[in-house]
Amino acid sequence: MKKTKKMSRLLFWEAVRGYLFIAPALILLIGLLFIPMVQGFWYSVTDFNILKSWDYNFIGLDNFKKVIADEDFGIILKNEVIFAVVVTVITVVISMLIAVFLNNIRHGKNIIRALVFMPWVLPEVVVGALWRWILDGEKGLVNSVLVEYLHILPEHIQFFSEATALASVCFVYIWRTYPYVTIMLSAGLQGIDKELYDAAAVDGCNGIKRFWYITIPNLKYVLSICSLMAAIWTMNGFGIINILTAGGPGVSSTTLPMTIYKTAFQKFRFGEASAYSVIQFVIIMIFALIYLRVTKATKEEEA
Amino acid sequence: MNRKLIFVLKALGLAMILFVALFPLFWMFITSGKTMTELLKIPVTLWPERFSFESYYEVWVQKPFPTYIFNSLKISIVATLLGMIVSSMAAYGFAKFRFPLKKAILTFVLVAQMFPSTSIIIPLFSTYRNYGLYDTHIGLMLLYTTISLAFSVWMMYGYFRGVPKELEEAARIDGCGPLGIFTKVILPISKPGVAAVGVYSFMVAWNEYLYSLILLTSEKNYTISIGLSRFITEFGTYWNQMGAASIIVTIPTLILFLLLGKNLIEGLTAGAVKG
Repeated sequence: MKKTKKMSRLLFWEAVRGYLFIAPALILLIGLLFIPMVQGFWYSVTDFNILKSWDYNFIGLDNFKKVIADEDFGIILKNEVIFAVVVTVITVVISMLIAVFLNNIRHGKNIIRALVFMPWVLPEVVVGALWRWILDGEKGLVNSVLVEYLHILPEHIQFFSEATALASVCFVYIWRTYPYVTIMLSAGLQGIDKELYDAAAVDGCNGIKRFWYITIPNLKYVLSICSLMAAIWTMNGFGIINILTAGGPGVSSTTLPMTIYKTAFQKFRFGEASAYSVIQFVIIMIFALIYLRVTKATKEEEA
Repeated sequence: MNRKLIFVLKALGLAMILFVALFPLFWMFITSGKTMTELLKIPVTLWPERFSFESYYEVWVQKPFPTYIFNSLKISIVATLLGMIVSSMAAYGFAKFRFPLKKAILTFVLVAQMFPSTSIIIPLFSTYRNYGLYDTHIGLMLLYTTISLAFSVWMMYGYFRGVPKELEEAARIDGCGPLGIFTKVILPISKPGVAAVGVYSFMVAWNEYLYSLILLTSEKNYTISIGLSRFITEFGTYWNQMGAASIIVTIPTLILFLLLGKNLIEGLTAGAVKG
């Protein structure tokens, strides 16, 4: 009896110590991420508009009705879906190709990986500016090369027009994201047992078969983690879009984060912007849950 | 013969991959060396007629870029140090102590990183105004520390769990308390992890855009991201200066990445290998 009492006292102090060590991190995360998130939920049912006043009243679901009734809402959601799907799928496919290719290179692997990784470490603003002037409709490099130097096209392409802006934004986000996915996948590839490939080669499997039956199944975990992370980052993406197109022309390249930003900090309708935020949050959390499911499922499989 | 062909194909593929990743950066550099008159030419010249440092002079002397860089350096360094301390403490707590709700808290840390920043910023904006953190560097330092925490905690957690129990026991017998074991045994062994966290936190703080866009208002407080983005809207056609500014802004990240990028890549991919 006495012994268990002593044990539980030890456990109690161990827990206290543990909590003390994680306290600073937890305070920051709760204070600066979690509480604002919850506060945002509250704003979404109020008429908060800082142009009118810093006070606000409860108005029920009016903001949501207004947001859903907005004529652009459908376009924005559609843009968000296209943006997320296109960027994620193309990024993963390209990264896979590059990772498999790099895996077959024997010399200078580390330096090559570091160089390939470069687009991921640049400031968002620099990435946006860089591509804005490379793709510029008048004096952009791409147009000059295609039209004036190589004479492939008769006239300049406008990469930021109503029809093309979203595609350009997707392209730049792919350029930004693929380095991360590539190095994750190449690390995953290096973790695959070489003997599996040797055995398959003995059995007469060709390269494509080996890729399909050995590489892909073994990379399942990394692939799903990377795809989910890429999707979440893309859906939350703001900086590069804002620099490239600011969501325009019109709403042709406007996604949810862009809408939230514009509603909150250009029209100062905090309540309405928060309603968009809640919608965005729900979508992201669905992906987060899948992410947790995937990481948990694999851990149980291993155990 | 066949071997040669494969070699050539490989070299071509590699060249293409590196071209896609690096050419835009190279183009930024080329543009920064052009003069205003050369910039107006159509078609765009592919090489500067004479590499001029005019744009660097403009950016550095005529525009307040040194101030922006000083601000960003200050904020990023403090956020990095703070982040390293806070995250290593938390990771140690998670790795070495048993306490209720540990799994739930770890999951929360992971999920918090996925919260959309455009949503967080709205309430944060009014909170920051109420508590006098608006338009201050301290406000951003705290925020930047927080946004890289999730990743840092998880990465350090991985490293700390790998430290053999025997080493801790030995230190305990030598009379070390939990804090002593942490600073004298665990941290020194986990140096690569600490380095990775450092690079990551610095890059997050240095590159961050949205929060500083909303939370800073006076020009003397601007960070490089805001300085640069204002530049784009106000001087839309001065591409040589934008190139120069971009190059200047990229240099600190580049140096850090060249020095410690290996650690960062290892830290990022640790999860991919272990699964």
